[in-house]
Amino acid sequence: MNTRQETVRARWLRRGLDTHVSLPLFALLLLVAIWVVTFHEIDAEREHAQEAATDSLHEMLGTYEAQVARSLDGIDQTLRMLKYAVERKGALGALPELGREGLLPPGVLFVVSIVDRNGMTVASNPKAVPISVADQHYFRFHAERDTGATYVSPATRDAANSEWHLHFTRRLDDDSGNFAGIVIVEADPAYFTSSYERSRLGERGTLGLVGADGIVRALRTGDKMSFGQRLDAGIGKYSGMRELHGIGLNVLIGLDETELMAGFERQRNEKMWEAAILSGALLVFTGLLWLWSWQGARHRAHMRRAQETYAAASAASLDAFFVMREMRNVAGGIVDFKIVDANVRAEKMTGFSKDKLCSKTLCGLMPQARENGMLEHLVEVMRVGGVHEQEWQSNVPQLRAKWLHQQVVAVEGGLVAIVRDISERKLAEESMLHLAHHDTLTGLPNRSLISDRLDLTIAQAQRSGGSVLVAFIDLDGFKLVNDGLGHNAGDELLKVVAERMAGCLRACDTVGRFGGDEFVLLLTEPGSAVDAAPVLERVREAVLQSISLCGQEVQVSCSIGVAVYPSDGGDAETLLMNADAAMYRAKEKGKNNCQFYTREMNASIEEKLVLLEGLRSALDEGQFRLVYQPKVDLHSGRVFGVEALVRWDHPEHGVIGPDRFIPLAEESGMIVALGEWILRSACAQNKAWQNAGLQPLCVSVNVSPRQFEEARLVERVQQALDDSGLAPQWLELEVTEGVIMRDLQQAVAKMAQVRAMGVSLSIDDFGTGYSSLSALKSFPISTLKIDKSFVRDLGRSSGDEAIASSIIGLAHRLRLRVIAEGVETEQQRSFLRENGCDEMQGYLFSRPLPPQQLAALLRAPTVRAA
Amino acid sequence: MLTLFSFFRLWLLPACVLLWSGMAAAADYVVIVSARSPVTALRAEQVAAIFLAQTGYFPGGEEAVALDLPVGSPLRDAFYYKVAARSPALMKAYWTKMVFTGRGQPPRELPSSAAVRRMVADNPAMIAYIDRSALDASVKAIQVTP
Repeated sequence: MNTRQETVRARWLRRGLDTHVSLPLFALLLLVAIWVVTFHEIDAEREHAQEAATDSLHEMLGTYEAQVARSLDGIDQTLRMLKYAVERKGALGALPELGREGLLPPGVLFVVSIVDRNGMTVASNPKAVPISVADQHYFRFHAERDTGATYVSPATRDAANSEWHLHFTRRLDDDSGNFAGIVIVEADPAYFTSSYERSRLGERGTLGLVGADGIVRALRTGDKMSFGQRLDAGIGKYSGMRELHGIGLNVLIGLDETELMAGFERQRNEKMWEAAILSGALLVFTGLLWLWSWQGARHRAHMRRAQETYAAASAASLDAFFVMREMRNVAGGIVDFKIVDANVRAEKMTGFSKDKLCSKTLCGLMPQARENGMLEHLVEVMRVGGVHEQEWQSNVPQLRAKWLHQQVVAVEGGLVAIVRDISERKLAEESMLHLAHHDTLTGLPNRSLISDRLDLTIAQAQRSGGSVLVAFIDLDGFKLVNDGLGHNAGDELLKVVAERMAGCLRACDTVGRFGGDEFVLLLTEPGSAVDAAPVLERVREAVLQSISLCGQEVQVSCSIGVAVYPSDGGDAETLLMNADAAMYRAKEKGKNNCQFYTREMNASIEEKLVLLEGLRSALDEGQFRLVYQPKVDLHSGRVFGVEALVRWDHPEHGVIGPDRFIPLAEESGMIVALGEWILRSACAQNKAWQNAGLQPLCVSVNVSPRQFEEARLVERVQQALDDSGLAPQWLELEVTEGVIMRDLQQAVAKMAQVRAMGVSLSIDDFGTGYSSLSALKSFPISTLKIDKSFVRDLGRSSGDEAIASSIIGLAHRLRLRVIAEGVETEQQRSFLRENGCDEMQGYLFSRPLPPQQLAALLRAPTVRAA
Repeated sequence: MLTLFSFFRLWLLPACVLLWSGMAAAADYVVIVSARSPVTALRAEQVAAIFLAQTGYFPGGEEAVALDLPVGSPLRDAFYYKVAARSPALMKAYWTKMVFTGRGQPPRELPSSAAVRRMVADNPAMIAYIDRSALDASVKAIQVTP
């Protein structure tokens, strides 16, 4: 809480110190100061103006007082002089006497008159008509009293002088002191205000004389002259009045306040304007400055935010950031980079703190950078500009990563390196690559890697002139192990075999698994190809060693086909194909042997391909036909059944036996359709014989493994019977042992279904496979057929005889009939008959016959007796 | 008349003054100094300066004292009108201020041209104007150039 308050305070302080905040405050202060000073000055000016006005008023009053006093004094002197002259020379002689002496006042301004005791003017200068002034106030004033002083009358007019005049009068006395008249000096009232000067009193100033009686003798206000009135209005603020002693007059000066203060007002306005302009300028200037600083502050805030964002982003980034500045030598070439910034990841990657990193240069951190091309690369990036990405395997111990992805961006005066530790990804990639190129079960190279290696090896051999052996190895009997002991056992077997094979090889050889139970050996041989033969032999023998699987000793062999570079092919594909062909030859040759490729092998393969192609259309084009081999009761010699056998009348290759095309049909899946055709044809033929009046026969049809496993077998059999109208007891299906043993339970169930339909079942080739004798008893079969390989040597091989007699005995105990096939000699027939065999078929009695011949045979009574 | 008209235009004299000038044109004055005075010619403004008490000296440095004819004499009015371009009212206003403020006194007045001539004749410092008919050898008329 406390800290938070402090932060708030610090933030406000920082904001206060920001120019865009402090500037307006400062400007406001300045503004206040300007106006305070201005008003203060105006006040001082006003005071000064007022003082000056008062001073000037007093000065003017003094001046005016002096002027008036002097004038009055002059007038008084004139009056005294007149009085003296009159008293000396008489009223008539006085003026000429004074005139002669030049003592008369100037006529242009003053009128001088002498009045006798009756009030009549007797003389005047300038000359004027004589008038009576007896009723004038000033006359009466002097007549009534003798003040000894000059009397000043208000302005009057009379017949002698039509203009308004002030009358200055003095009493005349005769010798006895009685009133003898008056002397008058008349003056224009304007005379006393003639010192009015606009420059000092202005347009509305006031200047004048006021009598002690309050009546204005002369008053000038501006250009306006007035007199005679009472001074009623009080004197103004800037006015003064002074009494003139001994004459009953006051001088008055008034100044107009507005005029007086006009200068001040003007000054005041000027000052106000100055202050206003200064304020305006200050405001504008401050405003501009503020705007500028505010934008600056905003820019800085923006920068700060951007920096914070960058810092946050780079800190949270999974990549290491290094910001570096170029360091140039005197020649201008970049010699190193100074680290100026780095993030947390960079600290982790280098193991140095950020401060420490920032005190280092690139080469200071990693001296190897000069040798391993890193510096060179970065200088190149600086030269070219733009973004450069690359992945590299680090050999720099300072960077704690094996594989790095780096992105270098050139910026002004330096660059930014974004480095990511991609070691884990590389590891994953490597393991994926390994997975893609190796077999997971055995760890051996797989098909794609083998192909690559083979290409490589061939290229090498091409250069060095040696030979390469490609050996295709297929395990014999692997399928039996896999089927009989389960897939786990099969996998175990493959592993063991793979190990053994690898153990037989030399350092320069390779073994790989091609898939299933196929392996490939690549043997490089600098000399003759034959030199590699011992390796192959070792492999064959190693495989032959028995293996313990699931507590059972199992023995498998292998068939090896070899193709040699360069004689058997120039490229990997051809070599592998030829090796495959050789391997098939080895299989054909009875397995557990090694065959080198010969050109004829290709011919047989080509033939196979031709047959396969023809097979597709053969069924539609009706190239198949059935022949029937009679089955004979050994005791009665009677033909009781036939075995349907298929023949292919190939348009180019003639008649082809089933041993050549049935495996192809099995491989290609054609067998299902072909099998159905055989089944239907056989049923139809049997029914046709019956319809033709021949004695009923049982027709046997072979069912191939693929056909037997097909889901709709039972349905198809039923359909064939229904369509032909043949009764089920006249049909027998022959199944090989192997078929049954693949999936015993399902096979038994299927056989039971067939049996339930009334169709008989027999086991073909009995004794060649791994029949489980215990299972045999549960089979719903009626007949066992002894394979012709046992029959062939009857009478010559005691072993075969023992097997044959054992099978016969076994079958009889299981209440099964026994038939021998491939009986060709009388000797064989005798042995079989003696040992209780029930039936036989073979060339001894008849080879397979077309339907018409068979019908003929059946009709011939002689045959029956055979 | 042309000169008068131009004066009118220049000084905007009231109509009555113009009328009066027309009448006064009959009075022909002459500016005189003592026969003993060295002054022979003055410009009008030099004459005016002496008569309006603006200077007490001739241009040559000699003392100068002016004399006037009485107020209201046509010759006086004609003189001032001509020399100082002032009407009697303006002359009165002028002297009012001069006298009141103590800056000067009007010239001494003498009752007639003859009296003036006599006084001038005796005093070389004096200068005055008289009726041309009153001119004699005791004084000399000086030339007043505009």
